[in-house]
Amino acid sequence: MSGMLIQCQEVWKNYGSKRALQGLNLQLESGKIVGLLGPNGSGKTTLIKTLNGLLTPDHGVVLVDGEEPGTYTKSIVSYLPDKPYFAGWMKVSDLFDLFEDFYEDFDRQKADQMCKALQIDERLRMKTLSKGTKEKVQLILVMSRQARLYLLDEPIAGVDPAARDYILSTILNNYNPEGTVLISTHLISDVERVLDEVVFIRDGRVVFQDLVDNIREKEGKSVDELFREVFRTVPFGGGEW
Amino acid sequence: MEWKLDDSRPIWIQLQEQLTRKILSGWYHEGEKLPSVRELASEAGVNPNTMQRALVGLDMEGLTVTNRTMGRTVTEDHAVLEGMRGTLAEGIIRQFYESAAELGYTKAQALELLKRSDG
Amino acid sequence: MLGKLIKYDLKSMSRAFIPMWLLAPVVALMLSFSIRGTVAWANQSRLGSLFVVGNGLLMAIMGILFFGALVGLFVMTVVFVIQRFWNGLLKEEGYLMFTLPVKTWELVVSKALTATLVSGVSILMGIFSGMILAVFSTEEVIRSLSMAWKYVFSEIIELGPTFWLNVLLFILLLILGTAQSIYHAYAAMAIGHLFQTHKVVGSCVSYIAISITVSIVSNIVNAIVSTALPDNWFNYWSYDLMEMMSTAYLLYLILGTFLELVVYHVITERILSTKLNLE
Repeated sequence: MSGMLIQCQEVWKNYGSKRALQGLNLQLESGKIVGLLGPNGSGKTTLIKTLNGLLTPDHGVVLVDGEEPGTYTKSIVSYLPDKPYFAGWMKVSDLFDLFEDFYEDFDRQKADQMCKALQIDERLRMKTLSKGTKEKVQLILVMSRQARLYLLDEPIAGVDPAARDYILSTILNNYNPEGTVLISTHLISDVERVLDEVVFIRDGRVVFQDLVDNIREKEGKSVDELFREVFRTVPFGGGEW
Repeated sequence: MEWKLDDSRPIWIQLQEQLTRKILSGWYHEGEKLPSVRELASEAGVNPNTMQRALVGLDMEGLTVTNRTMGRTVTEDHAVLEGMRGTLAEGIIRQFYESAAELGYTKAQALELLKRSDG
Repeated sequence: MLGKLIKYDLKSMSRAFIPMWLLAPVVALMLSFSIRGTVAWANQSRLGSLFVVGNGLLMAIMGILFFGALVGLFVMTVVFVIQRFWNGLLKEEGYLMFTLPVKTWELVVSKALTATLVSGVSILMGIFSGMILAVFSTEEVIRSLSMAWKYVFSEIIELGPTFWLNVLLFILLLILGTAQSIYHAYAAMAIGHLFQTHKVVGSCVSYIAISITVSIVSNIVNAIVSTALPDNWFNYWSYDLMEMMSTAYLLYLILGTFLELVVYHVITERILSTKLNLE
């Protein structure tokens, strides 16, 4: 058990009557790029928010590097949310200042360089930026940290192929190789080649977990194909009767 | 040279094949230092761990040599390079005969077709 | 880390408030001059009546503006206190704040301290604008004020240390009272956040429920305390005008306010620590 970066045991989470996580179990080790794959509403975002402490589980144990979400885990987790989270009045440079103030592993120089490469003016206020630029700034913030765990929630949803390639290469070129990157997505074919391992999640449970190359070796098919098989033809209402 | 990856086979095997071809075709010449794992991974758009596995594969085939000061370089051992070239060629030839057989040609007919086509 | 959080919260606040804080005294100054003008020129027949009417109109507009500035300052302060907590912690911005490596109590205290500071400065600026209006609008006010001040000053000098202690305690009570009402809103919003739907309605209902509970509890406590203590000890309306309230009563109020504040803080902090749900 020890040495695992992420440990989830029997994690339950309801939103009122809606069940988001139903006894989820998951273990991930360090040094991997992992895809968290599942259809919309399968619990991906809920799991990620549980790991970074934005949601409190109803039952179960969630440990990051052996500790429950708290000050320590937050200092080693770099989180890319599924929507922008900053106050509109802040300038890009204000955000960099903030990250520099609070995260010891934030590399300001790297952030500045990435901004320059993308020709983003750091003096601009967030509310004046386009949606795409906002997302880029957010990605720069997240990937300029030398974190132990990157939690990236749908980083490539709703972007064009060029932006998608840029995002994936930014992740690959900047992540801390000793850390783990957890990428949630439903666009599997786009991310497949950057992943070491995949976790399939459905109805708030992990239904499958394996290395990408194992899947290809054993099944002779891509993760995307396997995913389509696993998640296909669930009849209305689900299951047999 | 573009990196082409198909969906059905393990990515590291495909990477190793393409690196092998790059070495045998002289894209990377004898004794040349290969780019770092990270650079290669980024170029191919793949996970560095996967690229690492492909490179270890090359080491095991003897096509590359890793030493502490130089990093990973292409071997200067001609025997190894020629051996690998031969193995690859054999594979291509075998595949040719197999495909021809599927179309209903015997080995001899296939060979005859091959001879005629290079004219 | 708390210091850094306060720095960040102060920064987000100063942009919006500094213009508003400056606006109220400036409008007060303009109003007082237009009052002076109206008074001075009202009886001068050689100026056209149109001029007098115009000046009166100007004064009325200034009056409305001044009133508006004061109300605006008040509303803005209240909105700021609520909105910085609600949007800053319980909506999208909360994603950022709650993933910073800081303790929950630091987030809450930082918000409460900046909100108290902002409210305090707003109150001071309101009073300051009122004083400006009084002092600059007519000579009589200046004259009577300076006379009153001379009288008060001569009296104050003769007062003992008890008076000054009471003044200090009273100021402390005002500050604590401000912080406590802010925390009251925070606790209500934290409880409202526990609701699955209708979180805003939940917050408002919680606010009212807390108010009712507190008034019941404080009435009971007051009753118990006043019967348990000898009459003269609790005799807070002293007949000595300069010692408006007895020190003991001030201390009692401070203790009560402080306890209320602590309870609100604990409720807020516990909910945000153990029941956070940023969906």
